[in-house]
Amino acid sequence: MTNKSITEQACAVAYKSIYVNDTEIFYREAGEEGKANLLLLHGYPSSSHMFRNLIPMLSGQFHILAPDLPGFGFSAVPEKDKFAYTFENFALIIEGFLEKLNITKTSFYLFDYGAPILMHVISKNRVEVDMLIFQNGNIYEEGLGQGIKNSMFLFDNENSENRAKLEKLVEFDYIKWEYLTGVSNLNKIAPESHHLDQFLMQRIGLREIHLAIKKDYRNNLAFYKAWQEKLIASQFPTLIVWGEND
Amino acid sequence: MKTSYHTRKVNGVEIFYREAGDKQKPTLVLLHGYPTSSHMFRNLINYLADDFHVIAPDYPGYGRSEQPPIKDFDYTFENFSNIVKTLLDELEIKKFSLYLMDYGAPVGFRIASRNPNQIETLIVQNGCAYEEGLETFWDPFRALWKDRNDKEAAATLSTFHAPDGLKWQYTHNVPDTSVVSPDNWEIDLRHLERPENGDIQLALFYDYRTNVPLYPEWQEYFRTYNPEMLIVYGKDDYIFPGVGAEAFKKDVKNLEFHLFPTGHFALESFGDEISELIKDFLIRKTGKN
Repeated sequence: MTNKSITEQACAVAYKSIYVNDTEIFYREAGEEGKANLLLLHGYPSSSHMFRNLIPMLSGQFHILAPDLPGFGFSAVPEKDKFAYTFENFALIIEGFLEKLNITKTSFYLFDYGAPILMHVISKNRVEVDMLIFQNGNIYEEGLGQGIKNSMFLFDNENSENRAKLEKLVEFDYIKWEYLTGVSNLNKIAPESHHLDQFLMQRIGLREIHLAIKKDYRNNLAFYKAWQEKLIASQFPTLIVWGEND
Repeated sequence: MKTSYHTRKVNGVEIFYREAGDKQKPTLVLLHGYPTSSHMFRNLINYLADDFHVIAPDYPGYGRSEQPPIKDFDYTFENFSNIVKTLLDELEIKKFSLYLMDYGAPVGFRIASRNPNQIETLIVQNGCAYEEGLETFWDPFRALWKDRNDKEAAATLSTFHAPDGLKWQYTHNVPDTSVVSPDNWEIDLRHLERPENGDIQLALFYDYRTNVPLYPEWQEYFRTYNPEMLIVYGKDDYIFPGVGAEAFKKDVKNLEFHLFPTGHFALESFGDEISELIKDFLIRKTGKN
């Protein structure tokens, strides 16, 4: 058979983990080493699970790596006082991950949290960029939706009332909302996605960690201009595939 | 994606099912095992969706189906088979093939033996219809069947859906465990850790005793109706070992037989090979492609 379909390759996905900066990082890997690399980075509140169907679809042409960030999916959850849950530190983890796997040149898929994290990585010029694929991953002030603006306001004016509102962002109803809102055919959404996220979110300390990450999101805004200049200067081949009702 | 996700009230219980493909094409009903759900078929469904109509329900208390309180609902194989058959009737599925794995076997063989004229083909993957297929794994079950209040047996059995035991079910005797996605047991645990779910698992362990006396009836059904059967079996499964697969040869005339050097959830490690065999088998036997 020449055109292998999704499932024929699904078993070619390997589920692995390595230590990066003393943190155990889980990742999905598929495709032959030596082919063009593609790094897929997930967003909140998910993990590399979000790429489970995309990976086998592309694994014939690319060597694909999809790591879970610390505190997400099946990667380790270091304690909050022992690990900086910031976008800059996540970028260091991804850099360390690529270095450990000897990846010096790759394409990137930038989604949600993955966009600022990978723009930090790209801006340091240590890894050569093939192509960029943006999917609902923002690096422009005008691209900040009302939801993220509200949460930034609540973090800036933190009191018990606002804290209670913020805590809703790490509850199941919100996690489910992230998957279902703006979707035209709800029957196409696999419920295991939000149920898996919720199951993992219930672990001790996770909610606090995720609120800390959300609080740090604001720090990305200071880099937007630099990242935009980087894109202008470098003119990487870029594909935008975007859910317009997000 | 090709799969869609539905719920429907069946005999008063909200039943979740995955569905894919054109309803005019031959239907394949996928029946999952303990203690998982239709999630185990996520890749197989996509693979078959272009050529077949595929339906994969979750039993009550499993996956995304409702978990009615144990006092209001009989958690039995008899009841599960009634619910699955009612779902198929309500969806107006008159002819179908069945994929039977683990618990899916006693659920599906009940349906097949009672509705032989509706069955197009049977696909058996690590599902049992012969007593010789129940080896040492089944000792604590036999103890429980003898005495419903055997606490030691109940405690042993509950370890199989605790995190370590569950992971063991997915990885034991799998040649390369790096191909088995941890999504499996983490998603199962989401459902298994619901209040009262442990009691439900125990109720079904106890009820499994009702399946064994039906084995001769199912064997007679094989001899009388000669259903077309494909066996795709992980031969190194500790729960349903390969000897249980061999046993079908005694009664099933129209049998295609494939063993794989792997464990219980064979689709996780030999999904490509098994999917290809199923597609080829269904195309030939249903003759509608």
